[in-house]
Amino acid sequence: MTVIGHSLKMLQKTCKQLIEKLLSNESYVRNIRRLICLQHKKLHILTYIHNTRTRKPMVATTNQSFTQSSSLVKNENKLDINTSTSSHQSTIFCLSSGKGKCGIAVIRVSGQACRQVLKDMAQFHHMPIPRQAVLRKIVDSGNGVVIDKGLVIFFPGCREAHPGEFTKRAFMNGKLDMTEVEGLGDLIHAETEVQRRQALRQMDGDLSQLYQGWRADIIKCVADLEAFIDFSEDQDIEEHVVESVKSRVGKLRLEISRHLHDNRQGERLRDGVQVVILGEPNVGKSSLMNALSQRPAAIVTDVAGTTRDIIETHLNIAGYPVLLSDTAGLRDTADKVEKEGVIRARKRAEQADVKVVVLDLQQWQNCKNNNRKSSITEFVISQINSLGLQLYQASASSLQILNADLSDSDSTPQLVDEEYCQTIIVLNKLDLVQGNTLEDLKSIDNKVLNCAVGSCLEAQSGRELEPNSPVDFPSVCCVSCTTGEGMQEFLAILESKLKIMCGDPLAGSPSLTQARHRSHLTKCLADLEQFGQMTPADDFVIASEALRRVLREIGKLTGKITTEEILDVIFRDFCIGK
Amino acid sequence: ISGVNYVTLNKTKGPAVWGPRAQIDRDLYKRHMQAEILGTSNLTVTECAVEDLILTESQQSASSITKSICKGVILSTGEMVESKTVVITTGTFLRGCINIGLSVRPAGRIGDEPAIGLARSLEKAGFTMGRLKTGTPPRLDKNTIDYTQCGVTKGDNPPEPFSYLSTDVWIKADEQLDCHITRTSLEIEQIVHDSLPENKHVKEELSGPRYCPSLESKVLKFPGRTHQVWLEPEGFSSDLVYPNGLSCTMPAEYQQRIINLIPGLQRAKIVRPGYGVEYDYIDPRQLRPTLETLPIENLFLAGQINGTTGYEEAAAQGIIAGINAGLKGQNHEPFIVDRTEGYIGVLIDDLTTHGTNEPYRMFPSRAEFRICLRADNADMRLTRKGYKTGCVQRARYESACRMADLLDSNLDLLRSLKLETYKWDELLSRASSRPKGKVKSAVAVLQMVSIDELIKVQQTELGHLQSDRILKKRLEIEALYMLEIEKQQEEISEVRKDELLVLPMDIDYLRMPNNRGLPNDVRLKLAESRPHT
Repeated sequence: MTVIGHSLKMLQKTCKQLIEKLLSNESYVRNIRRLICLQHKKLHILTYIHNTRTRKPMVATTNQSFTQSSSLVKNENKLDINTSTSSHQSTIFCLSSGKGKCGIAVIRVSGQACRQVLKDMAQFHHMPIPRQAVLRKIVDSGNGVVIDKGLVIFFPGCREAHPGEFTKRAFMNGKLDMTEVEGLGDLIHAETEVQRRQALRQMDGDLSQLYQGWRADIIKCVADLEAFIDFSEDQDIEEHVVESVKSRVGKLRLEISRHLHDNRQGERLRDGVQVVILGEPNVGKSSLMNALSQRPAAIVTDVAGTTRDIIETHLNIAGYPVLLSDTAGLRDTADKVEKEGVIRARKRAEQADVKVVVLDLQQWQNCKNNNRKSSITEFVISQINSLGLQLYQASASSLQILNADLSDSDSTPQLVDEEYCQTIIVLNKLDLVQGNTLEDLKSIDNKVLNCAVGSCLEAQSGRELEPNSPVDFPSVCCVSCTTGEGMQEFLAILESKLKIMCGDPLAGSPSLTQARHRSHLTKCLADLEQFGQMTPADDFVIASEALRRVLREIGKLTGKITTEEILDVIFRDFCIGK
Repeated sequence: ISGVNYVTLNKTKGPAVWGPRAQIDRDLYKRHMQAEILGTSNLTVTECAVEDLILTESQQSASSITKSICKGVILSTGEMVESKTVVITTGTFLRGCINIGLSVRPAGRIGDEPAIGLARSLEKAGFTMGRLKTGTPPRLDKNTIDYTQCGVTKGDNPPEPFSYLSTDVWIKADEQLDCHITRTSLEIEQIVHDSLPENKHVKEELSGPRYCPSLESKVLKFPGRTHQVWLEPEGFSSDLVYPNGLSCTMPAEYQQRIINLIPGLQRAKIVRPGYGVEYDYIDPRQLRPTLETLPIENLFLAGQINGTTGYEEAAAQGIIAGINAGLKGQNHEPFIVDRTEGYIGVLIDDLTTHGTNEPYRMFPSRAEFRICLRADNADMRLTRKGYKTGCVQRARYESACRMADLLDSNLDLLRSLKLETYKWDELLSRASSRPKGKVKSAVAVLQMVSIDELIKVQQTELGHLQSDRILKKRLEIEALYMLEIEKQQEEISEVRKDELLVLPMDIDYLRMPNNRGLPNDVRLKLAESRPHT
């Protein structure tokens, strides 16, 4: 959402309230089509428009209003010629919100003829009360046809804002810091409800508060150490300063490493969860893809190896953003193209956050018919082994360490830094199994099956189960992509997996949302560790260089830290002088 | 040849922050400096107040920041001195005022007239000016101090000379004068508070240095503490003692009472009371990195007039302004030290881009590349650069080149001297961690052991270093910081790259066409600070 204007506080407040109100009500969001903002050197008008029409016509109306506005601007330019000849005084407009699938459109109009636009397009007879949202019909000034309905807000006494200028000013004036600006950006681009909650929290400064706290800690540490280096000899600065810096650095190390080892929940929620469908050829992977996306995204035939390349689609599942990939069936093949497809599928499987392994129940039925003893667990395990997939990667143990005792600041726990992954095993073609097999299937308790499969896989991976640890077993479910049977259950499982992968953005400490943050914080941590390893015999100055690097990195995260700031702290806390 | 006490500060920390310091005999210094200056050929020395500048209008376009050109100065006698360039170093004299208690006297320093006419001329020429304040402690009579109650600090033995050309200082180690230290007592706080109504200097909202607060502000900001007082001799033949830490501006009778509450000073007599000085400075953002002013071409400023404080800060600017005034007079390229080359660069860059609103003091923490900017390698950083501009004598240059060759060849030798880690451990009889390890060069080993130990175990290769005390020390320091400096190289080259883009000083940022994509606020900022790069 772009907020425009000069009287910063007022605008910020109005618009924030407005936006929050809008976004807190999802059904409302659907109804709002466009937010128009008209602005002037002297006045701004912000409008948003209700529209009950469907998605497609909305795009058309957006375009329509565009052409309308352009014709209007042409008229105004004519008006302008009378008053002014310089180009920057002519009346201009732009679509401030993103193009395409945004639910709201913001259009800003700025220039001398803005009052005229208000009269012509929003049909005001008197100028509206400044900074108050008014619902108006927006009409084509040429023929009087109603284009849309929407809110109009009028901001007098302002000059036109450049794109993002408001945010930039807020940033420059210290009202928002980098993470909050990023949160604002994420909020604009939020496509799902959960994403929005995370972005809003970040914009509200939760993440910023956390980082600002660290920033202040580091400034204090550096200031103390610098004071010790610069002044300890002929001034009154005691040795214990160094000890206290060391212990504070230790605490900071622990906090940052804990923040970093969040299994990338925040980033995943921001960027979308990678869900990859895997399996042998012709088990119904593409059908599952199509069923999930509710459109024929992938070609489905009964020819094995139809899907070659990776097919991707973006989905919103229960508010979580998902990047769903359909892959080529895994098998040995002589076909060059298909071979490449299989390689790509395996590669994609490595990057997956959630693996959906599709198996064909018909095959089990065949197994059973040939060999009566084959249980469903044995079938699943043998299938997965023959696919050659590494499924057991869940690192529940790393989650546990995150909850380790905070007071134990001396030792940084050895955190497991594995990629965290969830698996769902989908037994497809439920509609094609009959008789005994169906009976057998119905009699199996899913939980028991999950445990059985999980412990088998675990035993294979040679990993030891930690007692009482929350274990992430692969979940197994039976579906029919053709009839839709079992799809609800599958979706529920998928949803629970997504929840684990993304976490609850409102619970606990704010999550790390961007790779940028991760990279800076990782560097911070490395340098803090270097400092921590310093022994009294080492050169003080070299140790302090490590801390200075930390300062630069955290500065990149929250805004640059100047030497002046360090000196301010030194002179505030120490009496230095001759 | 004037020092009375030589101490290298921060000796317990890394060599990067060692600070050689010398206390100087005022009389000797004056005598030696005057002899040097008056003995310089082609130099005419006149002692007289300067009232005004000879200015002509600049030929450049009206929009240019440079409005006039300086062609010389007008003396208070009315005499005109014409010149190609002028350097002004007014110290605290520019409209200076002395405050003791409630009395205010116009003066640059006790006993000297302030420069008022010159201040007016600068103001008229369009400089943005500000006002700063500083202070000085009372001077005590050496013979009235009871040193038995004070701590003693002797000079270093051996005292380290500043110059790379000297191997020893001019006096013997035990001939150095001692410094003494004592502390203020808590009782003085009451007197300070009592004196406040009669203390004009402290009450006024002018910027004084934070790092060097007056006794009054120490008591006000950090109550309940005692503060250090260094008793520094002013020279061999002087009876004056400078009580460092007691800078104050209260009326003289309060000063006397405070002094007499300090251990060792119970019977000390004040020879001259402490006082505060207020003076004009020009906003240093109106300077080029050569210290030539933007509004007036050929005019250079250095020292407190640019908002700095301290001897080293003044000297650093003096040399840059002087060199560049000379170069400009001969139409040569300017001489600029950048942030990565020396503290001089940090100082001038900070001043000219950020300005200052308190007397600016150099601290090692201001430098990004502190570990490169060391007292031990100044010749490597700057001597050769200076020689190219002609401000370094041949002898000094050749000595620096010799040292550079020695350092290079010996560092190469150390790098090429490689053994497996365990062999080093064996040789140096250190606890060996692993029987087999990586190969390590002698440079890496030097980061852990002293060079003497290293030479002992590698007599054949390194024996030639044994007798060269200075070279040994320097190699040791180079090796110590090598790793860290490599880490910083990337950052340095980043800074250098940014700085290489030289922006002409007379760009009219405000008139740049709108379509160049520079927003207005950026334009204003640029116009104000006029970055050099």
